[in-house]
Amino acid sequence: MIIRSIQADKVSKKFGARKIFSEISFRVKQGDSLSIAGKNGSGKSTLCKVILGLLSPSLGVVKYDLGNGSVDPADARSAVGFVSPYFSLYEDLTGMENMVYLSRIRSGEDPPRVLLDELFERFQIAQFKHVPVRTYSSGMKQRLKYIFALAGAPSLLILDEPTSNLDESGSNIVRTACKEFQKDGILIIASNEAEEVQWCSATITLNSR
Amino acid sequence: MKRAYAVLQKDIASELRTRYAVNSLFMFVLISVSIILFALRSENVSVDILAGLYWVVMFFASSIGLSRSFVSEEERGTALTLQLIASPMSVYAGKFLYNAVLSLLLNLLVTILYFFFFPSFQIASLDIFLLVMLLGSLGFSAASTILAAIIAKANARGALFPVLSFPVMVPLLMTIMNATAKALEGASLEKAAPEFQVLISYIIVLVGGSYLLFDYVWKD
Repeated sequence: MIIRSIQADKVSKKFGARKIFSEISFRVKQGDSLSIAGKNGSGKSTLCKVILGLLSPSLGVVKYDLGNGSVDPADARSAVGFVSPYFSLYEDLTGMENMVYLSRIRSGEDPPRVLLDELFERFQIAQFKHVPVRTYSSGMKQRLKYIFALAGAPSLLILDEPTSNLDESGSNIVRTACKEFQKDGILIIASNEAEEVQWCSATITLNSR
Repeated sequence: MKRAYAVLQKDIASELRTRYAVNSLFMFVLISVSIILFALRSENVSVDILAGLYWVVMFFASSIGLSRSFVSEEERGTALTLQLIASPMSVYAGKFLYNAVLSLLLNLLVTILYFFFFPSFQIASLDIFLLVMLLGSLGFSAASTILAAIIAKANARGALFPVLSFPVMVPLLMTIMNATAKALEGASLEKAAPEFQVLISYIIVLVGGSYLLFDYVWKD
């Protein structure tokens, strides 16, 4: 499954009476990228969850175009990679066990070992892949999330605070991975770091309310 | 089904690593059976009471062990991970299977302890007893899985499960107690047929209801 484009049409989100954001519209197609900027509490993470279909919009609609028709985000999750501080991996399992079990849950298949080994090397935690995740530092856990996101060969990558907890070397690896991914995938970044916002070709800014 | 099986595999691997549920359940069952043993001493109790006490242990053990299936995902922050990568049905089916396996193992443990400690616990109809164990475990799993998913979103999780599960499990408990008593009395399989019909209906209704409800429970 390949996502050709994402379209958000006048998307609004409220929690009770509290308005988070309103009437957000955009279209991002393959090879394009979009950054979602805004201060703390402006709703960047919430918008990411709405784009992923983890939260329903209060108004408006988000659709993924697969080339042969549009689908709801929830129907194309196997084609999406997501990195966020809000989701965790299983601390009792090793890094490799996390990748294997979660890939099986995601696609029903074992992930290609060659790809996994390559990603562990690329994100420089290969020597820790058979160690329980609870012993990882926060930066290593963030790297592991990237490995999981990319192991599914996604056509849409959504990164919420892409370099949080990462040192300079980790940030550089992520930046390079994003550049490569942008060539034929769709990249969406939510960040309040000016430098990360500039990685993308277009930006929408959410205002705090 | 492959994805549900993967959820089951992940839960088993995680449990084997921490042994949180297994250890606490083993201790709970051992202590409960010991207390029952001290209370009864050498009294010769009826099969009805023995069958009732058997499932009382199972009910409270399930409150401890089976209710953890979704609470642990919320506590570890992995519920969002599962929401992201798996369909609600794969998660429900995987958790249902995990709870069924755990419940069967619990049944096996309680049975072994009863055999060891209570000389009057003699299974006269093995076929009825095995069927009750299987259907009882599936019934416990069906009720616990959906209730665990509901309470996982609440604040007072520990207290909520027994309160919510008791009314839901009353028909199950009454039926399995009757059927277990029949297994101990040595009744024929035909005599326990009404109980099995109720148990099968109970499982179908709960799994069917959960299938319709789970999507709303699981999604924020």
